[in-house]
Amino acid sequence: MIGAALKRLTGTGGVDAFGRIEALRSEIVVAKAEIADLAALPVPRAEAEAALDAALARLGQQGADALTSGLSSLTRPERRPEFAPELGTSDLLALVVALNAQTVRATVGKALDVVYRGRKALPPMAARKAKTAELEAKIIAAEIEEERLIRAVEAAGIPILRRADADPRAVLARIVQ
Amino acid sequence: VNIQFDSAARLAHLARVAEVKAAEARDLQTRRNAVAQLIGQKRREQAIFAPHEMNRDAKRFDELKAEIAALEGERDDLDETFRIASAGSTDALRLHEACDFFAAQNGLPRPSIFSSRSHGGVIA
Repeated sequence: MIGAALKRLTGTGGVDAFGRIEALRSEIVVAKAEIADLAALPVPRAEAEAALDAALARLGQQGADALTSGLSSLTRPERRPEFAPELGTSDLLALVVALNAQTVRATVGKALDVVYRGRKALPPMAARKAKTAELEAKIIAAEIEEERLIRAVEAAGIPILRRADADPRAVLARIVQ
Repeated sequence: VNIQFDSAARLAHLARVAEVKAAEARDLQTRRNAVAQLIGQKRREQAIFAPHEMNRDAKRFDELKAEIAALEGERDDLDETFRIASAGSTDALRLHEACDFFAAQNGLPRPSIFSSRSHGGVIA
């Protein structure tokens, strides 16, 4: 009886339902690994440097503001001249940057050299986002096809196990056989 | 991706599948325990016919030895089958729970708690 049911499930090109399910599961594993690899890559060097420049500009401004915050204590006639800028601990790095942005940039740049040494060109973040979305669409399509085949196998009375990590969207989907 | 859901029916099906898998695993465990008990019984019986015992009977002793070896083979096969069935049962239960959680999170219809098919004895 199972033999006959299996024959009914044999698809075109000699690929049976079980073989197709295995192939889909492999596709899913590969696509998920590709997404994980993309997520683990560092951002491109240029983007890291742009972020550093933006941070240095912000910190430099913060440091300059902090340094000149107590200016009235020097200039107001009713006060005894005393230079006492209002500095918090969070202003210390900002102060260093404000006074010597080039040295800070060079030091952090050297550390970035170590991180990026020997790396090939890294895809820009926008391209990674698009690639991840493409892979996710591929995975859900594969999961839905896998679930369609599993239901066909079940309907033929053949025991088959779903993956414990199957996507609930696919498992709960309304699928036309 | 635009997906239409049939969540209540699918969840009920997953619960039934999980129930069947759990029953299979339980059945295999019961059979495995029965075989293990039988092996113990045969060993005790074999000891009665051992060469140093008063009721020594070499023929019966060897017959029991062969029976025990066959039962041990059966027990090993059952161990492996139980291991696979148990993993399948756990997977089916985990998937049902994940899908039920997904349905709850997304406000999708779930089987009625008054339906005998809604839990399939799995949750209890």
